[in-house]
Amino acid sequence: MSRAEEVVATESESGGEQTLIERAREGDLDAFDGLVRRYEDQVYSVAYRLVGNEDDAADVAQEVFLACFRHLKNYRGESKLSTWLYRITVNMAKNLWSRQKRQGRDLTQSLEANDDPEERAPIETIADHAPNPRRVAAGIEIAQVIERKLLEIEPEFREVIVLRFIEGLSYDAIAEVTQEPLGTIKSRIFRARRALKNKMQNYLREM
Amino acid sequence: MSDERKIFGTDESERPTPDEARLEALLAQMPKRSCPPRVRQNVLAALREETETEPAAAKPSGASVVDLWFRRRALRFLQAAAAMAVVVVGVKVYLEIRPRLAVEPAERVAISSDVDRIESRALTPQATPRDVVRHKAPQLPKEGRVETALHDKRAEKFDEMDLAKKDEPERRLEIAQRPKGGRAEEYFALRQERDAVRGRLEDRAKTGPAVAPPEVPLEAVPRKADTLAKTDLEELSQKVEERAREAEAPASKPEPSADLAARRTFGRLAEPDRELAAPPKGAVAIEAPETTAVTVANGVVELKSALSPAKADASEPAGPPPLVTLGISAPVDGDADRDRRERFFAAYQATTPSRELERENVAQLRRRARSAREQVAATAGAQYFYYGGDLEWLEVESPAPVQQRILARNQISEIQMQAAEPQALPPADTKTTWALFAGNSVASFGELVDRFGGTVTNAQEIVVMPGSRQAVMVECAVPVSNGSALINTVNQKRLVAVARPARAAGAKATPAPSEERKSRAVARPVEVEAAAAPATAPLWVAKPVPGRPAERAGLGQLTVQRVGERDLAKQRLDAYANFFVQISPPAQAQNLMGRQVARGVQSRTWQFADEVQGVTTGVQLGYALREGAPPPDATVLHFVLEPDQLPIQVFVPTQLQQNR
Repeated sequence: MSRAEEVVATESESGGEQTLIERAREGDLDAFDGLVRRYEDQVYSVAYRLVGNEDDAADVAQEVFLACFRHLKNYRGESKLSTWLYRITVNMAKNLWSRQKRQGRDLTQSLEANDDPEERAPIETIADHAPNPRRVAAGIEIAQVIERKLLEIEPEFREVIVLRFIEGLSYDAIAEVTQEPLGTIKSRIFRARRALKNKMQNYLREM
Repeated sequence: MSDERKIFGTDESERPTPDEARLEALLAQMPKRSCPPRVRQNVLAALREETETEPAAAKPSGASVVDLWFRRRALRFLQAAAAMAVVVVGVKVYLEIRPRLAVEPAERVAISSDVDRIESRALTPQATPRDVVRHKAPQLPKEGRVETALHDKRAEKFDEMDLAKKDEPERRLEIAQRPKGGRAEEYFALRQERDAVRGRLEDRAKTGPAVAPPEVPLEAVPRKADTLAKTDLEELSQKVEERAREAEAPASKPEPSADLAARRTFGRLAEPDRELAAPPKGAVAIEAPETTAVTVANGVVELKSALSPAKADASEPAGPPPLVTLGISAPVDGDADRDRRERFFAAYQATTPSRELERENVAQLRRRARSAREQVAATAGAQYFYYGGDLEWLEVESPAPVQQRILARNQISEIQMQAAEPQALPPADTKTTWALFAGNSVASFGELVDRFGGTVTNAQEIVVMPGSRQAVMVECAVPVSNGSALINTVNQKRLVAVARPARAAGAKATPAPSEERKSRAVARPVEVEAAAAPATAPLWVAKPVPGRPAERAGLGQLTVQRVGERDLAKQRLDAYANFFVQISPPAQAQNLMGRQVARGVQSRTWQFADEVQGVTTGVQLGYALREGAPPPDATVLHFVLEPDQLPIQVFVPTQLQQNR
């Protein structure tokens, strides 16, 4: 057991996440390592759902934790640390989207895009990843389908879908992460769910 | 139902459809992604590297957002602060030196923009009484209502309401018009300065620019001269009185240091406005100097002028005693000063009874005093001060440039005065001047002739043309041996006959250029040689031209026979040849001059042709001038003396003098 794991275990025993935060604020990297261990999967998972590939998700997660350590002084503890980390993750993902958009790597497709197969986006026409029913029935491929369809909806819809239905955050937590009013979040979740349902209409019928 | 619901046609609160529920279940069953360990390792490695290499950067600096913002703009702040400092210093320096700059009458009134701004803010708006009562800022009345703004119903109502305090509105109005806060002192200071400048310019405009001496600028003294004057005047009055008493006592003598202090103090008082604004105690108004005659001696300019004091009217309320003429002087400590003082007193007493100052207001008196003072300063460089009832004639040396300027001005004015004398002379004086010229020129020419061993036998006034100029024809008899020399001397224009017009006593011996023009004369020879037999044989022949009627003198039309130079020279060599009239002006003038000359000597000449026509340059007119035979040992020569503007020096060869 490493020292960080010992620290985490000790703090877990004492239930002192706050202690870890205080120590990390003072520059204790071991304490911050404990925090990273505690939230790295959550952060990485959300980042992966938002950006769509492992490399970008890893970069986003690294930037999230680096920013977390550098701005830990500004964390006032008014919300959960996980919420704060989600917020940073969403912002980092948005930054990545912006960079990719500037570099012409927009892999997502707008809802307003034409559904005509001949005019579909290249990514949809180049690779046909349509799972066969057997694999779908196996429940393995459906996750990939959902992940791919998630990338096709609007980013703001994607982030609320991920936070709400995959990470299981409450409406209030989502509003806090996205810095949007609660009503807006509810409406956005509603529309995001409908958009994703429309994207997966065929798969849902086959199931 | 909200608009959003209407737009999307569904209620978000409604239950999800089976597909949506199935989708939610699928999303909830999405497998969790585990973070690769490299993420954590990279993060910690990066943080450790930061901590080791840049501990300060890795550690939170503790600087707030505001600190960082200021830190980023520190350079801007410094630049702005430096610029503001430069502007402030520049404005301060400008305000400091601006009053010292000379203000010309024609210049625009240099009023600080602060004054204008403050005045436009405080004075221009017409405050209504209601505004005053409510202590509001005065509102600008609408156009066309400026004059009636104070006479509207509100004003009447206000007057009715507050009749008991009639002086209150004015006072409150004044208070309302004043700028608030710390600007009040600045406002009043600037306004006072502005009023002073305006007053001076008005006075200058009335007195005219001619009396404003350039060497005595209005702002010759710093701005604080008023305070100096106020503080020093009382001391000065005491000092002057003390010195007057000491001067009366023969044994006592003031100390030099006190004199120097007095001079300095009076020097500070030379500032034009301040002493008018704050006259010293006991100063009595006196009038302008009656005379401005100046005497220049050893570079010290002295003004002899009689000053008459104002008659103080006992019934008149005692106003501020105006200081009319500024006095600058040394203490009366010597005989010369005492003498001057007595003379001055004598002039003062002599002029006092006849010169009574009219009752006039202080402003007029001050303006007149300013004019007198500036005139004195411009002409003499000395100023006088009637002080405290005792007339002290003090003296201060003006600066060297001022003295030089005054001297030059006096000399120019003297020259101009002398130059203007001939024009100002009456006709009798003109005659006298001409008579003087004639006499002097004949006498001078007689001296020259005497040096050649001859004598002037006759002189006659003639008129030469063109221009009807007066001239003198001189007849002289010169030994034959010196005749040619005299003629050469005269022809070389080495003779000067100076006749000066009458000049005022005390005039300078050095003639002015204008005098030279009027008094210098040149002798032009009218060479008349003794006629040989036949005595009346002319060198030219005038005979009637056939076909043309005789025009004058019954001689009819004449034809001129020209005489060559060789013949003329031959005749000159002959001592008893005919005399010739030698003239040199241009062609037409030669004719006229020759005619006039001939007329001038007509009584003694053979009949001469009145009219000579068609004569060109170089014509020699010859005629027999004398009927009788000349002396055998002398040559009779005639010269025309007339004033000339050319300066010619007298030159007589030594050899000729020995021949006398």
